[in-house]
Amino acid sequence: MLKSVAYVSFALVMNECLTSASAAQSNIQQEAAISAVKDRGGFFRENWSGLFSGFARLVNTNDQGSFSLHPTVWSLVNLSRAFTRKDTNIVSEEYQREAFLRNLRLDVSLTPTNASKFKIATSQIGFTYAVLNNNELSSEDYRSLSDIQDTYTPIAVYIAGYQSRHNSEFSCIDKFQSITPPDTIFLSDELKDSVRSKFHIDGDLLAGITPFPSMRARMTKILESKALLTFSLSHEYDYHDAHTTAVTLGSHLLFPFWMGETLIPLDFELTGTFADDTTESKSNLDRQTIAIVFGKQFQPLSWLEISPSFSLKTILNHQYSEEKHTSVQLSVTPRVRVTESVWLPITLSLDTNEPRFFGFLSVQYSI
Amino acid sequence: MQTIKVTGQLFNTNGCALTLILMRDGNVVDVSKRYSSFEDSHVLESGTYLLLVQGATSGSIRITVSGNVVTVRPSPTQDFQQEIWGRFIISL
Repeated sequence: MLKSVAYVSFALVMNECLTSASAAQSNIQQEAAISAVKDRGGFFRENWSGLFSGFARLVNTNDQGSFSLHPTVWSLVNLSRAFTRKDTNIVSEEYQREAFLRNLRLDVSLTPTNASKFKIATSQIGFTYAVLNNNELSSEDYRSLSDIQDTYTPIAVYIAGYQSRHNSEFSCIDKFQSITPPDTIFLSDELKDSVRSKFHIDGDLLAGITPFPSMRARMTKILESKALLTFSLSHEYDYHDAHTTAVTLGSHLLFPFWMGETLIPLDFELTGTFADDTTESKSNLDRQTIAIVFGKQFQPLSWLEISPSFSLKTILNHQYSEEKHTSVQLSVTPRVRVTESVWLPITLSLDTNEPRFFGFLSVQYSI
Repeated sequence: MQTIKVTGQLFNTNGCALTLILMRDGNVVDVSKRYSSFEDSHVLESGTYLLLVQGATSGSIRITVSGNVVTVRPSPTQDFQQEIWGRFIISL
C-alpha cells in the first residue's frame, strides 16, 4: 500500500492486498495471526499462501484499456507446485535460498488493439528488483520477539501447573492449550480469577495470557519500520510502427521513520526515461526526461488510504515546442477498500503549469 | 532413562519465535527458544511429561515428538500456521 504512491500519477497503482490462495493455509488461524502484517501489505512479501497474489494484484486496468501483470519470478517458478505437489509447503531452508526470486518481479503491460497484426498496440516489459525488501521478517526480527514470550511463559507454566493441582481441570486446560485460536471459554471461573489475580490482568483475559496480540503488534511495527528500495528497468514497444518508444530506468525508496509513536512513511521515486522524439522521422530514443515523485501516505481508517504526492518532471533533451522544461504536478489518491480483494483508487491531480484538475478512477482487484 | 527427540520444521518462512516448555507434575523441566528449524534431544526419566509450544511465525511449522515414547497425545506430529499454540503429553 505504501509504495503505491509513486504509481498513482500514472494510474498503475499496484494492488497489494494479500489473499490466501493455498487451501492448506487458508484458515482462520492464519488470518488471525498475520492479519496485522497482512494489512501492512506490500508487493514483495511473497510466501506460499501469497503465491497467487503475485498475479492477483496485477490484473489492473487503466484509462487506456491496457492491463498489466507483475508476478515475481518466485511465483512463476513455484506455480507448478500448486498443481503437481500435494504438499505445498516449502521448507524454510529452500525458502531462504529463493529470496532473490521473491525480490525479482516481472512487469508486463499490454494495450490491445485491433489495428495491429499482434492485436497489441504497445507493450511495456521490464523488471523490478527489491534491494531492500520490507515485507519479510528475518531470524533476527524473530529474536526480537523473545522478550514478549518471556512475559507469557510464567503464565503458561502457571496454568499447566494448575492442572496438576486440580485434576478436575484437566480436560478444560487440555482444550485451552490445544485449540487454536485459544479461547478462555474453556477455563473455569476459578482458574480465570486465579490468573487475573496472580498476574494482575485487568482487561481482556485472553490478551493477557496469550502472546499473540502483543506479537502481532510487534511484528507489524517491525515491518512498518523497514525500508524498501527497488530498481527497475522497463522497455516500451509500439507494435504498429514496430519500434521501441521508450526505455525507463527507475528507483523507488520507501523510508519510514518513527516520530515519537507516529510512523511517518515517506516515498521517493526517481525515474529516467529515454523516449522516442515523435517529431523526428526516424525512430530514436533522443528525448530524455527525469521525474521525481515524493509522496506520503495516511491511513485514517482501515478501509481508507489517502496518498498525496508531489512530482517534478524535467525534460533534458528534445523538448517539444509546446512543452515547458519543468512541470510540477500535485496529486492525491484516496483509495477505498471495497472488499479484502478490491480497492477503488481515485486519483485527483493538479498540473501547476496549466492549472487544471483532472482525475480518473481505476479498479484494483486481487484474486 | 529414555531419549526423546523434538523436531520443528519451518515452511514458507525465514524463521519463527517459539518457546518450548517441558514440564512434569506441574514443574518446569526445561524451557528453550527456537528461531529456526530445530532438532532437540532430551534424556528423561520414565513418567508423563507435558510439552507446551507457544510462539509465532509468518509461515508454518511442523513439530514432531519421537523416540522411546509410549504415547504422545493428542498426536506426535502437529502443524501450526502463524500462531503456534499447542501441547504434547508424552508418556515414557
